[in-house]
Parts: sequence; structure tokens; C-alpha cells
Amino acid sequence: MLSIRNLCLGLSGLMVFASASPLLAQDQIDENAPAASSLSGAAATGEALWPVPQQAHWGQVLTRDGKNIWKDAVYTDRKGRWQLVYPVTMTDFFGDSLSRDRLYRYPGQPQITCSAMVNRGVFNDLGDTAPTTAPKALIERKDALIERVRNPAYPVIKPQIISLPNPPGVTGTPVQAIQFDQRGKLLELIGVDREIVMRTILVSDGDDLLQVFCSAQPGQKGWVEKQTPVALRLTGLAREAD
Amino acid sequence: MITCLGLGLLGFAPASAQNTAPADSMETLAIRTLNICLATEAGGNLNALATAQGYERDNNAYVRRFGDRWAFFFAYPVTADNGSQKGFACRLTIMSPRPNPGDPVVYRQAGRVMADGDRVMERLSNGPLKFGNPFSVYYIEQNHPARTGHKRSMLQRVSGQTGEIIYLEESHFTFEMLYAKGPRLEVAQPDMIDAVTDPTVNAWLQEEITWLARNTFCAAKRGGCPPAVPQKRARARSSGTNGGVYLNGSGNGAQPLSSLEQDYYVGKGYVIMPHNAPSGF
Repeated sequence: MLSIRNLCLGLSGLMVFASASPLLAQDQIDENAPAASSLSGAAATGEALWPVPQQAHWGQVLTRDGKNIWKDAVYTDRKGRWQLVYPVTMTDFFGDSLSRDRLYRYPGQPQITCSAMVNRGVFNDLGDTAPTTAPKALIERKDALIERVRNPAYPVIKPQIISLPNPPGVTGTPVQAIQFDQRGKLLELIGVDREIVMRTILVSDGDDLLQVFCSAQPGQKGWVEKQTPVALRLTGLAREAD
Repeated sequence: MITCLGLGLLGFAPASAQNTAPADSMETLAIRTLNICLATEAGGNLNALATAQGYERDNNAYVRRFGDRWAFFFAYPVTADNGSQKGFACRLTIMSPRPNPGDPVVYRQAGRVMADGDRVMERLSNGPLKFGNPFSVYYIEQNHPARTGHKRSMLQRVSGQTGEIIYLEESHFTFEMLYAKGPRLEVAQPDMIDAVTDPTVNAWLQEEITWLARNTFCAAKRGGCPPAVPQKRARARSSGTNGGVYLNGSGNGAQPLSSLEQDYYVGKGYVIMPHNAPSGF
């Protein structure tokens, strides 16, 4: 450990720098923050997207005041393209922290979850324009996309297109998303051996498909239905190429 | 002692034109102070860089005041405990006065200690991500587990066996920045960071600036202020504690109060204050 006494008091008479060579690339913070680069994709689709979080937040969980019982935890995607909002009490992270997928659970009750998963390259066939054309293609391919991500063992309940809530103070077309519910042992693969309800939201993110879901036991169906649409915050970067 | 840093380091040229005029706000000063720190570590002349930003030398510290807010900046070489590797550290503490309820000066801090704290935090945590050898975020805006009402962020980078951290901690009355460079495995120790940013030390600095604010206020007031009535303070009873503010009767092994709790309790007769104020500045 560094000597605390030295840190607090300073040290006298020490010649520290034997070699003062590393002047080549000097680190300096630019105090005049560069203007945010314009988000042409978001302008093209006219959607009401969330502001891009500052880069220091990418890949981090922050606690914020929110609508959940205590507070919201907000996980920002490593590339800043979306955020996942869930109750801060869901402290149990499941999965591989190196991937972009996230699954947060309530400790001791792994059936209560909120999750975001990136299905890579689903809109690859749209070519370079995928970020701006995928939102429309998402609506057209609704049934195929649900087939792709659903749990085939249980029926799909109420598949529909919904509008995500606009971010506060942002005008624009609400983001259109596919929404459906399922009920059954949906998390059996990861060891949750009980019936749960799950609401899933699908949106496009560049040429990827972003799948967000929350789940709980059937008695908490109301929470799942309310939480899932607000669990996703799609930022302006979601309409930009990678 | 610090001037020794300037020796043998000729040939350093200010890297950017943005530092030509002294900082005109606490926000700018905070950002430039980290730049001064990094430049000093890279061989710059600390005294020249700091005084160019309007800092005044006060013993080991560089001090600058903007109205109700004071900045205390320290930069010093450090050594690892085994003496194997030399390191470097800087510490910036920005504080407002915190008068007791009985004080003549009325001072209410409306928001965070830095009015535009968001921008400062954005620059201080995002700027280092863009360096040639970039820092990466270790944790950000996390509630400090032992200091209620304090948010902390840490960035780190590693080159070989050397590690560097930038640590930011903000509470209602205090903004604190710590830069440290040293052995990779030791520089980011939470114990070290917590010790260096000990609120007890800040509380002592804050008493100083509260006293200065009181003097300024009373000098400007017609007729001055009535003589100060020293607050009755119980002696800390446990010899095992080394300062901090405690709830009266909380017994051995109690945790010192956080700054927010202190705000609530101080002056209401519930707390005991340390009788051994930290020294060394």
C-alpha cells in the first residue's frame, strides 16, 4: 500500500524524477467539451429517442431515482445504444459480463428478472441503410421475428405493435416495438424450475435486433406488464451504423 | 519541498493554449487542476502551472477562492511502503463553508458544491477516456458504501507495472479529486483511497474556511458580530478512534457520521467532536 502519511503530508526533499522523458504524448483533458456529433439516423427516422449517455457510463450500472419501489438501476449498453432500467434491488447478475447481453435478477428469486439481449445481424440484409430502415422492417417482419425469439414450448399471448413512451421533453414519433407475452417454465434452461410470466419487447438497433424482457411469477403479472415497456431506453446511437 | 519537482525538468513547454488565462470559474479550475497534475507528473513545473491558474501557495497547498468556494490543491511524490517504486499523487478538495446553526454568518448552499457539477464530472470522467493510453471506468457515480451521501467514481489505467487512478468523490459540501500513480497492484487499493480522502481531514479544512467566511461576513457587517461562543464539546471517549464525528453515547466501534448526518446533528447537542484535530497541512 502507498504510504498514507506521504500522501497526506507530502514528502520533503525527495528528488522524484530520475528521468523526465515522457513528454511526448501529454495527457490533457479538453475543457471545452466537443459538441455532440449530430445523429443523422435519428433525424432521418424522426423517432423520439433518448439522449446518448456520456461515454463514461457505457457498460456501467448507475443508480437513479425512479418509479420502482426504491430506486432504478440503469445499465448502459457498452456501445451506448440502449439502456436497461430495472429495480435497484435486482442485484443478482446472471451471465457473462464480457458480452453485451444483461440479465438482472432478484437475489433468491431468480424468476424475477429484467434482461436485454442483442440478436446480432438480424437486419443485415437491409445493407448499409439498416439503422434507419430496420424500424419499418421490424413492423413488417413481426411474425417472423416473434418466431425467432419466442420460447417454442409455450404459446405466444397477445402479439402486437406498441409505442414506447417518449423520453421526457423529447418530441417525435414514438419508437414502435413488437410486444408479446408468454407463460410457462420459460427460464427452465437457466435453472428456474417454475412457471413464470414474461413480457418481451423487440426493437431494432442498427442491424441488430434488441430483445428486452422482464419476468416474474404469475402473481406479479401486473408488474411485468408495467415494467417491461419502460425497461428499455433506446438512445440516438441505435439509429447509427456501428 | 514541492519545488524540487521543478528541478531538472527544463524543456517542458505548456501543451495547450487553453491555459493561458487563469481559470475564471471553479468548474474550469477543477478540470485544469487535473491537467496541471498530469502535466506535473509528466515533468512540468508545478509551481508555474498552478500559479498561472491563480492558485496561491500556502505551505504545501495551493489555494484559490471563488466567492464562497475554496479549492485546495496538493501535489506530491509518494513512495510505496517498501520503497521499491516512486509514485506521484495529487489531491484537489473544493469546499464551501459549513456554519454551525449558532454562527452569525448565514450561508446556505443551494445545490452541489460545484454549480455546474454535471459538466465537470462529464469532462473529468470522459476526458481521460480519450487519452492516447486511455483510462477506463472502474466504477462511476457509485454510492460510497461507508459515507452516506457521497458519490464516487474511479478511472484506472495500467502501463506495465505502473498503475494510475483518477478518483472523484462528491458530497453536498465537498468535491474531491485524487490522482495517484504508483505500483499497479497497490495504487487502486480502496483502503488507500478512503484514507486519503478521509472526511475528517476535510472537516478540519472546512472549519478553517468557515472561520474565514465568518470573518469576512463580520467585517462587512456594521458593528461586527458578537464574540463567538465556543461550542460545548464532549471529548471523544474512545482512545481507539482517531477523529470523526460520532453520535453521543454511540460507544466503542461506532462509525463516524457521514457529512450529511453531521449536517443534521451538529449543533443540536447529539454529537461528540474529535479533540485531536488532524494536523500536517
